[in-house]
Amino acid sequence: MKLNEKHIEDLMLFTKRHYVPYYDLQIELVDHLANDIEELINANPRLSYEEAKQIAFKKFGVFGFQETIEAKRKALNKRYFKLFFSTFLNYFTIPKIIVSVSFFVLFYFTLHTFSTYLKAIFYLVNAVIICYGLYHSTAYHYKLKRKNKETGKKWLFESMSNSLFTIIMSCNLIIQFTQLFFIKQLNTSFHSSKSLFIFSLFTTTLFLAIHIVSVILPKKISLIMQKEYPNYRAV
Amino acid sequence: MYKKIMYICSMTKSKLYKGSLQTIILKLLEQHDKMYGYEITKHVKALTKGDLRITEGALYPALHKLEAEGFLEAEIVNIGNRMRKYYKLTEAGTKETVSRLEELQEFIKNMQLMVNSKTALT
Repeated sequence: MKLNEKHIEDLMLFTKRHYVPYYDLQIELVDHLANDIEELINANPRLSYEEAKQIAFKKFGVFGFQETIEAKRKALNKRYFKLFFSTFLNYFTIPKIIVSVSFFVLFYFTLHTFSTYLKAIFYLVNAVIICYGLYHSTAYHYKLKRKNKETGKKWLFESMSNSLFTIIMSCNLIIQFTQLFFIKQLNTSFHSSKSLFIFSLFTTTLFLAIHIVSVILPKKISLIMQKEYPNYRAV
Repeated sequence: MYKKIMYICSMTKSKLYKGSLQTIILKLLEQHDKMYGYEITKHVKALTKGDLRITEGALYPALHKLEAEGFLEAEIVNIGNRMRKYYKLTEAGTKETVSRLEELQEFIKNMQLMVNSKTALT
């Protein structure tokens, strides 16, 4: 027996009802269930489609698809961070290092020129960078939401590239870090070139990280998805 | 007649098999150009004459892990009424297969020495 279109639609709904909202994961699970159901019915023709479906599903264990989803999420997280670090390191190799050095020089001279208001300028520059990240991230979040509604498909890897949460958490960490280590130094030796160097390096790193997370990675992930899934539609 | 079947799954006690699941997958993919999840379980079952069965709850996490590590790459193919995800070895995956098989063979050799030795385990 071969399953028809209606059966496949039912299996798609079945996985959705069992907490698998992501299409990239549904594809694999539906194919697995369909293969198993077909084989079960071929071996025992008296078995109904519904009975075979329940037998096939039970083989995933007491937690159903949960273990598979968690493992996929973990694996994609790993892939996401690998992608982040390789892109980040790329900015310290030729030719992209020119961009990084240019930003470093720009921040250094901005801080040096306005050294009287160093503390204020330092926070202002960092606030602008964070706003830049939040703007791109929010815009992407809404585009993704609209696309998911139009296509009726949610993709797990793509949902990870919606980095709003990552950015907020990074900003929080950075603020904590700044308060702990830099405030004291700002009050004592904020005119020294060593301080300016550290602040410029910190600001450059923050800018690169936020730019990569909010602008570059969503595009890269979209390209990867287009390459892997023939029916994927980019944001 | 009772036949003991080894299940590779998260709840199993057969840790020896569980630790070798990724190597089994890599070896199968080395022999076949590309395979999908269900096909892998069927192949293992057929090769071991039903003695070894990879459960669904263990297979997909292992495949996703190998994919995230860059040892496997996926290809989605439309097979008519549904899509199918095929896995194949990457260049890094081919090298990893050689190294993991060597490790496994070394392990088997040492275990055989230990088990067959008259004094070692007594």
